Amino acid sequence: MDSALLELRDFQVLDQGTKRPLTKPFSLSVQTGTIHLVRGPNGVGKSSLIRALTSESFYQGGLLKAPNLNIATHPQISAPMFALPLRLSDILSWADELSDSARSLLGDLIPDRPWDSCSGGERQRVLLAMLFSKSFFLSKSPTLLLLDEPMNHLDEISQAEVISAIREWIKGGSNRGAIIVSHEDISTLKCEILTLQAATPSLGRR
Amino acid sequence: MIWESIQLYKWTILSALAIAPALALVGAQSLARGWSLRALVVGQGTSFGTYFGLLLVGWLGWVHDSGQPAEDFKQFIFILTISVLVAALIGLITIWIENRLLRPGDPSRPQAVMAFFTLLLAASALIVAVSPHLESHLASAFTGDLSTASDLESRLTLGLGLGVLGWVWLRWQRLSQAAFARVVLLKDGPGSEPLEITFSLLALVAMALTVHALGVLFVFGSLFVPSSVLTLVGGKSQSLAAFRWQLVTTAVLGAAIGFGVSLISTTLPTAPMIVFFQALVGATVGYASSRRS
Repeated sequence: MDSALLELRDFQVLDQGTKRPLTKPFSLSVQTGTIHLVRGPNGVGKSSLIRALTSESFYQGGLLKAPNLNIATHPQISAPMFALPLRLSDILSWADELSDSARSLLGDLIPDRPWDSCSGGERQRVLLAMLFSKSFFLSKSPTLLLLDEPMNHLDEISQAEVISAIREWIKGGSNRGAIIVSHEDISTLKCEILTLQAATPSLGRR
Repeated sequence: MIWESIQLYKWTILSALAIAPALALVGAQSLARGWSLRALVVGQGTSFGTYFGLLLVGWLGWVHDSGQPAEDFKQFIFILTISVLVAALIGLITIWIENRLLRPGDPSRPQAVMAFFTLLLAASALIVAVSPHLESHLASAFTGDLSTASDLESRLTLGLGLGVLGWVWLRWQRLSQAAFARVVLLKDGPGSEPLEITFSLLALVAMALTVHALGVLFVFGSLFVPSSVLTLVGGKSQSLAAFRWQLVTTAVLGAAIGFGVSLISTTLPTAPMIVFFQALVGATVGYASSRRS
């Protein structure tokens, strides 16, 4: 695993409740500089794979991580609101320094805009920008991004900006990679595709 | 006349002016974490713990002939400790109900927490029923009045109020970041665990002491009214820092005006007046803020 950030061998994601395998065994080697797109039908365990890799639990099989691997996770979110008044400038001030890829992702967003009045896409862009920067949320700069449906709520232009930002971020460091779970067609990302298969047939296919 | 009353109740007034903004900041941070129901139950838990402590004091014979608990530092700390321990236990049970008994997002979860809250109310009423010698004190501990707090309680509440106010004020951004990470990013930021534990403990002690000194109505009012009315009327267009100022202004002015009105009047009780004026001041500040932005 000279240049691999992460290796999965005969890996199966387990259901958190029943602890039974959700996926058929699969292998994955995340090399530095690569982006992996995880696809599969609903309920196959795509988000559970992200959770399993983050928590290092609810899986069976081999899991090898490179030394000094720093994982940053972007969970699947559905336009979350926040109870306190909060402007985008408040959130961005929590970053020690915004990276170039973060700045390009933020684009023309107005800093005085309240968080709750932003669209889902605008919120996604801010959260992803924070992920590309050293901030309160991450003690160290990440080397592996685990992104769960990062294109949710984004229009085509914003999707292209996210893809470009991920590419720039990966180019910006010598040992970086990303795993992206997405329903969207992001073939322009030039990524390796992993299609998960259910361990047991779904109701509709029995 | 008014000046004499102020002289007489100066420690109670000062303690209320210090603890009200502290509880308002704590209440806003609880709201940010989605802990409002939990705060309500824990608040009732501190109240129940105080009643339980008073009951124990009665059983131990530490009361005056009048039926009022003697003002004694040892007793006071005993009741406060019982109150904090009972509230902490109730808080843990509430978290267990929220996290273990029912799956997150289950719509019946709030109802289960409210059922627990109702049980605590019933238990508090039961304590009042079995200890009639403390009935007058227990009743005033609910609504709160100028005569409820002793100088000792008031001075301790003042000190703790200033301490909690300073701690939350200085960590307002960090606490908000931690809440944002938890609610929006569904994870805890690095180093946030000691912050959350300290915040929970300080909130618990502040609530327990204030229930004992100023009554449960004052605690619930200061926790929930300023943040709710400010966001309801003022919206959420202001910055985090501005909101912190608005919370403190609303809580302090509301407590000061409420106290003033109850001192002038011979019939109006203190805590309900404070809650009422916190709502009124909050609506005014919120409206002014929405007009500016």
